[in-house]
Amino acid sequence: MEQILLKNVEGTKLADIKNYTAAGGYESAKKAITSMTIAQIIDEVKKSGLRGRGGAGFPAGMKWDFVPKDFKGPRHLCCNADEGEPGTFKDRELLEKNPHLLIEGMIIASYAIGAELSFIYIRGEFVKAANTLEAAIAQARKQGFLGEKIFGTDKKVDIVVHRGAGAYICGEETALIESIEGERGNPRVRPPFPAVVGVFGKPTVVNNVETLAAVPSIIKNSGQWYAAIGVPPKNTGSKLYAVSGHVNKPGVYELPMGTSLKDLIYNYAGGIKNDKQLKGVIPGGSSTPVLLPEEIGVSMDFDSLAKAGSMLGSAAVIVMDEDVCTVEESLRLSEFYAHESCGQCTPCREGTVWMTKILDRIEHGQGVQGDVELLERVSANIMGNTLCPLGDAAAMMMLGFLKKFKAEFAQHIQMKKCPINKK
Amino acid sequence: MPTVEIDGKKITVGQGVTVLEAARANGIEIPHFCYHESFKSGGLCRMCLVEIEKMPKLQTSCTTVATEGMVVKTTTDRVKQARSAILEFILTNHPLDCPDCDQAGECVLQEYSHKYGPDKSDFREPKQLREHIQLSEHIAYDPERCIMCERCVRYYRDIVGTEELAVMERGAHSEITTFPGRQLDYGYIGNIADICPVGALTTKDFRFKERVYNLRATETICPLCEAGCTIYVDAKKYTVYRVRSRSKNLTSIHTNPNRNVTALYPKVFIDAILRSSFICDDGRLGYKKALENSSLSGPVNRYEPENSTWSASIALVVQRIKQAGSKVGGILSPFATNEEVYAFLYLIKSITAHNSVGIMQFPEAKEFRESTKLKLRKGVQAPNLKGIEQIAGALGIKIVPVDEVIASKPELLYVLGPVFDRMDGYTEKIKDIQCIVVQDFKASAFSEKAHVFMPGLSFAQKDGTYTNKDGQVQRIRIVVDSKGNAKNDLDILTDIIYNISGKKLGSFDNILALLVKEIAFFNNIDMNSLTTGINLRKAAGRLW
Repeated sequence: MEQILLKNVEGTKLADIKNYTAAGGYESAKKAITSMTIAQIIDEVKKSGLRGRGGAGFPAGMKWDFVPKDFKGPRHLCCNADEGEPGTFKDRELLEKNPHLLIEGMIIASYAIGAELSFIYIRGEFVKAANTLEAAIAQARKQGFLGEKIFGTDKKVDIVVHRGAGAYICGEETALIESIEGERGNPRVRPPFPAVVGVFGKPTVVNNVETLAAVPSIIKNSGQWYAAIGVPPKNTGSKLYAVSGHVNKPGVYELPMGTSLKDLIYNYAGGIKNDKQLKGVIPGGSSTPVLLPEEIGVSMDFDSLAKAGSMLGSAAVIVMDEDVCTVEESLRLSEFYAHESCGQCTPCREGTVWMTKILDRIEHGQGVQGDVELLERVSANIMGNTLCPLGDAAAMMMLGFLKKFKAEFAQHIQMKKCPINKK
Repeated sequence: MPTVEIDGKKITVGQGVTVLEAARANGIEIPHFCYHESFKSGGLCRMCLVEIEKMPKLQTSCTTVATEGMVVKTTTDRVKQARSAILEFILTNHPLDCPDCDQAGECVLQEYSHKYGPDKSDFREPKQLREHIQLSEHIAYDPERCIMCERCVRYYRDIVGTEELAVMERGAHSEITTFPGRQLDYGYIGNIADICPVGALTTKDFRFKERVYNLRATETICPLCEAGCTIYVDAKKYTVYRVRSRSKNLTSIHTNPNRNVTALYPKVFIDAILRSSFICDDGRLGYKKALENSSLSGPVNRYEPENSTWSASIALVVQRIKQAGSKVGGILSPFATNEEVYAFLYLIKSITAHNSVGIMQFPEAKEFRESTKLKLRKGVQAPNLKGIEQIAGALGIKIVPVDEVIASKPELLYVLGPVFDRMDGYTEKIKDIQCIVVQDFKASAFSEKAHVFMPGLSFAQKDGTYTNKDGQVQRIRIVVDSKGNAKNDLDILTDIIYNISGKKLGSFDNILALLVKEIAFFNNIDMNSLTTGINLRKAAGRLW
């Protein structure tokens, strides 16, 4: 497959608008703005089968269509560039190396939902990416691609880069909206959904960086073309896979949706480091349930992974070799969730801390009989009862590890120490 | 008007009413911590989770709007399990210090733990220890007990509008605090202790004073300004321990057509609902000034000090009033109840054939700060000015300033208190008056000058009604028994009237019935509704 998102990103300096336009950049935006109706654009995106790349996999065209048509007044597009899930680093690649692709996608999406002011909410730690984006936006504005009267029409689209202040929860779309508004980044109760009441109370679409970056190619080549890539009809297009952990060649790989996990690890990422044995793989970012070596034949797409009891999530593949202690790994992730819980709702605030305390005991030889069952119970009590998906994420991770590596947890409790010989 | 089914019961509700409110209005209990009828629901505590058909996950009933055909179940095993789980989570870091927590006995967490909680917890880790925070000199915050329902934060955001409280830190470290270096400003602080479902916020006034289950709550009216907020006064034997707000009528919010659930924050609040949910700090903390009873040794007769009995004093007053005839001057305190006012004015008009009465000036009840959205205070710092105006008007008696009464050089000046310090400025001007009679529940600089002083009762020791600035006639009740040798003010007045003219006015009930019958403003009062207050303008069906 020809690369769509990362094409020519190495060496050609696509962050410079001259190089980007020389390679045919902004032609799609021009086409959309000057020759297509809103309905045509949304139709094309619907046909492409493009699903949200942030984790939930919601069809992008349908999301755009949810914005109330009869709403008078401004609407907004928010690009979620608050990439903070452990293991996920795919959006950074795009933001730093191909910012104009995102901007072009946002121009088209903004036009399609009727937004004149759009936001990029970028993770605060992405200083380089934010600077690159600001420079790229300034260039696009100078060229007349952004601002008033874009592409010589009477249409207006502008983009503001909003830097986050370090909270993982701000990647949750309603918390992101609160943060843009200048409030503490706490998730909101839904309904109302952002498509109805979003940024500053206006209808808002929140899309992931990768989702928006896929839009220009769909407009350029047609939805049908995009839908032919991957595993049609429901898992289409290309996908950025961020592979990390104990592999020889960690990195971001753009491959057709549905590439097998085994292929990804052993072929593209060069296999396990130091010829060790594979112990487990987290397929889609830290919250997705872990897979065992015998399960890695799975096709890396939304539906296949769901069927396998996990999730594609952000397609952040975390590879763990035989030396990994899964108790320690789940403790590390549980600490992350406890630390990042906003504290609004009871099960997440108290449950993640409790989970962490139990795991800490087990890992340090102080586990007692019944702790595994207790962990299961605590996770199950968090699951589905929280205000936003963060609590679910923590519980899902925990239940995943318990399901696949229960014996190792029991061993810790029995031996009263960690049985893995750590370096 | 959508109809929903909750636990098999068909309920028709207004547009935009939530499942929790619908259930509540129909006597179905859904436990909750963070929901409060006065401000926007947060969906935070997750205690109100219920099962709704066609929805895979449990839903927070406080944020789910009831829609046509919705089928809600609040007693299924899933719901029970979720409630039990939430309580277990809350209690993991709760100190369980009920034995020394003031909230014990009226603690929602305690109640729900008994009703819905697990009987034991598997939490074996050490609990978090945290320091107290003094949010103001009147309120302390105990983060260990706090369950982060954020009612207090939302109260300051949505009701007071000053956003003085916020959540700091994150996750399990979250706590409520003020801006660094600042404390809450006086005015409407105390309400957060009322709305706190646990013992995290406590007033200095009440902290460690008494167990709530030893107290008796009495429904009465705050006497400290003309707003006439409905309150509970909690007392034991002769002592008042605490004043709390008392909700008047919650159903009105369920049917309020102006509520907009899609808006982020409800914009419209009906004044009456706010007034019923909240009171000002003067009312909550300043009640002692209307209570202290320092003159209980019985009447003082300065003509014959050795003869200071009730019968002698009353006989003396009767004799003096007869002597003075129309040269009797009357001064009324706007703290007097409607019934006392009637009796007093009856005395003035029918017996002395006088047609004017002086009213003591009380300071205006100003708002504490201009910046607050919540503005409860009204009129002057006394409860019954409106009542005096209405009754005097109906009886054809003119209301005049105190100076005018004194300037008319009466032979006898009858002052019906409470006086407080309002008459202190007249101690020189009254020197020439031959007989000064003062009736008050406590001594003042003015009462020292009285020839006859008759100790009465405070607002917490008697029955009566007050008419607030809006014209609502509201009932005050006996909260604590009187001790010592004081006498009910109304009884003193009716005794005197009987001894002069043989007319029996009767007790509080008789006079209230008389007022209802004789005075237009009191027409059509539903006596039962006096507990909760009644809008007479509406009841009388006319404007006045």
